[in-house]
Amino acid sequence: MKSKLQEIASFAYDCVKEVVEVKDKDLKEKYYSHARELPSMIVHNGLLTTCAFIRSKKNDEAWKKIEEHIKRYLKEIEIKEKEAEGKQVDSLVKFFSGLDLKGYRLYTRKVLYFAQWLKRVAEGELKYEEQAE
Amino acid sequence: MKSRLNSFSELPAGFKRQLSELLSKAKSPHIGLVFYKVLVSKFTEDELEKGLKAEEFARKLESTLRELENYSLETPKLPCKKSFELKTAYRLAIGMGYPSLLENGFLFHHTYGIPYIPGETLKGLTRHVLLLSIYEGIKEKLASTQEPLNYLDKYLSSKEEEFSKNSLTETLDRTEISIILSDYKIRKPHRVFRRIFGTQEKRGEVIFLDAFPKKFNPQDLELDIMNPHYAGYYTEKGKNPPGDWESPVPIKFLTLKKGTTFIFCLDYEPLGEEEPELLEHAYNLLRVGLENLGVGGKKAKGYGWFEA
Repeated sequence: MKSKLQEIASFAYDCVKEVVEVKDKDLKEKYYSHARELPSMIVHNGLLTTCAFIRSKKNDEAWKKIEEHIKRYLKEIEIKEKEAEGKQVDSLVKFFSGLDLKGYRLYTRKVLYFAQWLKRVAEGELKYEEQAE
Repeated sequence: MKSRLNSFSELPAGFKRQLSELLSKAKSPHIGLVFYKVLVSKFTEDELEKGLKAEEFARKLESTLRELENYSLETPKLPCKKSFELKTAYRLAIGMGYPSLLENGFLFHHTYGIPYIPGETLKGLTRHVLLLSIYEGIKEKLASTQEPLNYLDKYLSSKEEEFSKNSLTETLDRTEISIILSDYKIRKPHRVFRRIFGTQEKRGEVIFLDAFPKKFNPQDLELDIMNPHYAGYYTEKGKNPPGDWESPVPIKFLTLKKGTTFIFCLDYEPLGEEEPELLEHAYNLLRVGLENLGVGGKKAKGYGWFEA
């Protein structure tokens, strides 16, 4: 049985792995730098602002990828059973702004935790890529 | 405080609406919170979902700042050994590296929500002034070393043992250097340096406190603009030529207006000896730095400089 921590870590690993396998070098570089700034962004700007920021960067494939990964994380790890209660995560902005203050703080912590793993794994996996070239 | 807590529980459901309600009720809100976290609640979910342009965000920020009541926060007199006031000679752009929806951030005090200049920034600036001055004074001695400034920096904060072994120590013991861009002179500058800023083994004997504006009013914040004309040339690292056919890209950023008076405070390290001469040196060096080098971002364009 996997612990919660292992679950999140391996999920983050799968997400980054997906990027590693992409051929587009530009995307990889951008994903790497965005994944690195994501946690500090959440701490500094708040979760909702960060998501709004990501939405405003919709021309940037790497940000899109990160948004997709957060969505998937929420769907697959965090709110499996809650989706039955009518909570949809098709839109991060709508999902987060619909929460009450308590829930918002809880999800901030959860997403932040995931973002930190994403950063760690990206630093390991994608940095290695860069050096190998 | 109590009334605010009460109103908190009466807020409507939904975090975003709670935030905007809070903002409208607060008489003197924390500007840092407004800028970074709350302003987003002024937009509808659909607007956010569609993707917010920095421009729209800037417009909303401007109108929100204007709507805020004209409250003025005054910094009380701080108990410290040496304090002085300087005012900004041009706009101040500090903390631009922080992430924000505006692309460029701004430094607000975490608790008080007003702009300030961190003590470590001031200490670094002061240290830089003395370092450059020592370098200027003994340039010939360092001519043969590679990266002389780096070398000097390491030497000055090295451990006591290495420090006394180095031949520079003897030379500097006999030297009086003049501080760059001023008439001020310091004897045995290396010993002064080690005492003020500390070494690897010992902490510095002077404390640089955060500098706060004497008076702060939300209206003192101004949106400024930078407008790169050759974005394609810069982002592609010179692959494309800088051409006049490119459109300028206006980028807004937050600044503190010209003429804001800041209070700077210096004090002794609590366990150290109190030597007035050291504080006087630190004061003069800091002033030289503030008036000639500046703090914050865009210094080359004149931002962040101070005048008496």
